Amino acid sequence: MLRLYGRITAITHMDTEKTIGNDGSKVYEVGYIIVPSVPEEKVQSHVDALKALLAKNKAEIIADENPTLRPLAYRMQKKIGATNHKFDQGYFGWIKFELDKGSIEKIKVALDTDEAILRHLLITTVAENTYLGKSSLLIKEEGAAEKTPDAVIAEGEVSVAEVTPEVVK
Amino acid sequence: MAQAAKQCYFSKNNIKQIDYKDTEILKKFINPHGRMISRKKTGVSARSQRQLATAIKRARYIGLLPFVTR
Repeated sequence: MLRLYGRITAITHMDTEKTIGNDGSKVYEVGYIIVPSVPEEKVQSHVDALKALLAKNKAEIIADENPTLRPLAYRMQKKIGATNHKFDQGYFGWIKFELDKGSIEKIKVALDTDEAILRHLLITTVAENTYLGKSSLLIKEEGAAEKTPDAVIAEGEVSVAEVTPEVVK
Repeated sequence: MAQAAKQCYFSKNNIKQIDYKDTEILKKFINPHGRMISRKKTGVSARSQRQLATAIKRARYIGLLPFVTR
């Protein structure tokens, strides 16, 4: 899995140039999963700590989403202290921010060493909104609507078949 | 027999950047086992397919999509 992650970061670095601002800053996005053993009321304090760290490094937050508890697609393992812990769910949240190129390493180290963070994904992205969220469901409906012409034809055939016996009668 | 050319899903819906968090979209391009579907079958443009592959891999890493489903 680590090897795969390495490949992903390699791909990420390929499209970095277009995301570099005029002042040498880049747009990053960090997605993170906080361990579910953290009580829900304390999750916000972890987010605030992360935002404070970003502010300390003069990052400008563009967009973010607060962590929500959600099931993980597969079981993840994290070594906390001396024992391995397995998790089936976690609080997933993300922050998009603009930061000076040189400072990202500090953020990465902080994320790596934070025991409350089960896993994180640090990528370069663009300042414009790329996350469709619930509006992606609307596209799905349009896709369904596209299928209707076929359905209409099928219905038309059926109705003709239904009508003809009546005509015969 | 030649198949009719399908228009790319992402250019049709004007999606320039594919986000790994949009799992509802990504799920359309993985099969029931969790594997990616080839562009031969989906009709996605080469550019979008590269972005899509990256997005699916990222979503898998962060636990939004499965690596495998039995």
